[in-house]
Amino acid sequence: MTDKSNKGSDLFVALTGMLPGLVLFLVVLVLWELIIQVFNVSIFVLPAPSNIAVSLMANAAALATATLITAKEVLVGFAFAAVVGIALALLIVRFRLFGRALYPLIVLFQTVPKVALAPIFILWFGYDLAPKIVLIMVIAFFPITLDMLVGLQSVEQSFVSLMKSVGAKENDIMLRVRIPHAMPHLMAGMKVAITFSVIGAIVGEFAGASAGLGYMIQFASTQLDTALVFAALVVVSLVGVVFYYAIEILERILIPWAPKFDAVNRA
Amino acid sequence: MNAASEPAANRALPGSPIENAASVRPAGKTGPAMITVQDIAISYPGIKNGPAVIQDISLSIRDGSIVSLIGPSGCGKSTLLKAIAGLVPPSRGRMDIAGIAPQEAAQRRLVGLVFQEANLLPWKTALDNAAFLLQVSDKRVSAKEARERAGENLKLVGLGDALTKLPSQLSGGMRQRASIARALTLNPQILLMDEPFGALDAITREEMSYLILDIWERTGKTIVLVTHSIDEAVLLSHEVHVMGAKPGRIVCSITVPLAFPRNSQSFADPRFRETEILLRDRLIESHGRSRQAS
Ligand SMILES: Nc1ncnc2c1ncn2[C@@H]1O[C@H](COP(=O)(O)OP(=O)(O)OP(=O)(O)O)[C@@H](O)[C@H]1O
Ligand SMILES: [Mg+2]
Repeated sequence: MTDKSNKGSDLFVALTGMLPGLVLFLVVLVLWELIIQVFNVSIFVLPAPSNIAVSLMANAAALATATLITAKEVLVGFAFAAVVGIALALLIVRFRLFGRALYPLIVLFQTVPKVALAPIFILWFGYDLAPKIVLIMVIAFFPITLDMLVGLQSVEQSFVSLMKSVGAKENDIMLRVRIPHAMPHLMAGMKVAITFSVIGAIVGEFAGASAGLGYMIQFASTQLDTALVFAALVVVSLVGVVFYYAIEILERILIPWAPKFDAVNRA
Repeated sequence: MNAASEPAANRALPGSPIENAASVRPAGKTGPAMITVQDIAISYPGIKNGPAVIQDISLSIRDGSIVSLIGPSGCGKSTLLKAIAGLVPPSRGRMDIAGIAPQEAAQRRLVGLVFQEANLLPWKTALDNAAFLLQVSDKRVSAKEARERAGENLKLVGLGDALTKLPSQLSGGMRQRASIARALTLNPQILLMDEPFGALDAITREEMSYLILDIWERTGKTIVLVTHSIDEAVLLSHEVHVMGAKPGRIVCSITVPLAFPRNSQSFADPRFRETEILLRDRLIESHGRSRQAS
């Protein structure tokens, strides 16, 4: 089989794999539309899919601007979360004593409801990008740290023995074994973190903002424009999905050797 | 009793397996002692005042011989092997490898290790895996040279066609061959193998035994093998040390009276069966004793 036909069949498999989800999605939409029509539900309470579609079209320009702003917050915040999350995991593993001191504090911090911090960050960092980035960072770094730690620590003990038996130093083991070994775990953590990042951006905008999708949702609900609230929600979800699959593509490029995890078919 | 200085007069008489309870006799037709272990005891840190995991162990393993350690689970076979590899220090006693301390010997790459799991890095090809430890242990060896040596050893173990394959594309037996090639690439004088075929099916195990014999005939390395298979121990070894548990110790050492080269024909030799029965008896005895002790 040639490379090309292989890719073609890959795509085919991927598309047919999405088919059941698509069908279910369409069924739900049709039912939703029918229920609204039959029971004559007010558009202020719950708009029909057709109302949402109309609103999407009518507000396309405003939604696009807001999307860019929110996407930027998500991306920058996530980048900070990734850097902090990875750095913490590396420090904890490399300096055990420091790790023993720090880890319980991180866990403790994790139990603080971060949403409650949003107003404080607004107070400290103003209305712009900064408070959103900080909020996203504190929400999203933990899954990255945790999964990275698992990856770094789960190197087979006998492999470590093997390295030590030839006089390898802990730095060698870290760089050449632990870090590459942790990559698949890191990617899993990043997938969780990116969805947290989207939530963080919206919460941050709720707490205080003058632009973005979260701001639009809040503004539209004060105007009783429920259709626009839903239209913005649709766009937020799309942003999340796009980022999620971007990481999955990155994973395939960066660590082609890792076993592919199929969340559905392996269950 | 000092095993190392005992005269070689006690070596195997041709024709029958020789057994010497709690002492060790060097096997025939090999060089002077490569590994000397004198009266060592090992206890793991963290188990406070716990009894030693192994105790009163003395061994002398000749240069170029194949020696097996066999015994009930938990009797300290892996621990003894790790001590020889310089990975755990004995709390008592002396050991030397080719005249130097185990840790120093490891640093000088005198020992190569093979474990039950092949422990290949999944992101590296067979070739890079086989070259990996040499590259890590000696920065003066160029990547090119390390790969060349790795390639030769992969050919030696029969993986000449799989150099560019990733571990996930290799069978269990092939992975274990690659891990043997990785140990050989260090060009050690001693090969320490801890249940190297434990995870393989019976036929592959037997193939691997012939591979070990083949490697030994070509390189003359000293090989210490931990195994649970009596067959394997008899087929491969000059000498088999039977260990008992609680505390881990050597209960007897048996010299295998079969001539080299050995191969599938060796199974037909009546002395093979004789040695096997003797070993099985000693093993069952040691099992019984350690069960009483617990
Ligand atoms: N790192 C460790 N820390 C504490 N105790 C250990 C450690 N490794 C092994 N032990 C203990 O030492 C004893 C001997 O273990 P060892 O692994 O050497 O046995 P073994 O003969 O290789 O057994 P098996 O045949 O199951 O591999 C066991 O009782 C085990 O619980
Ligand atoms: Mg063991």
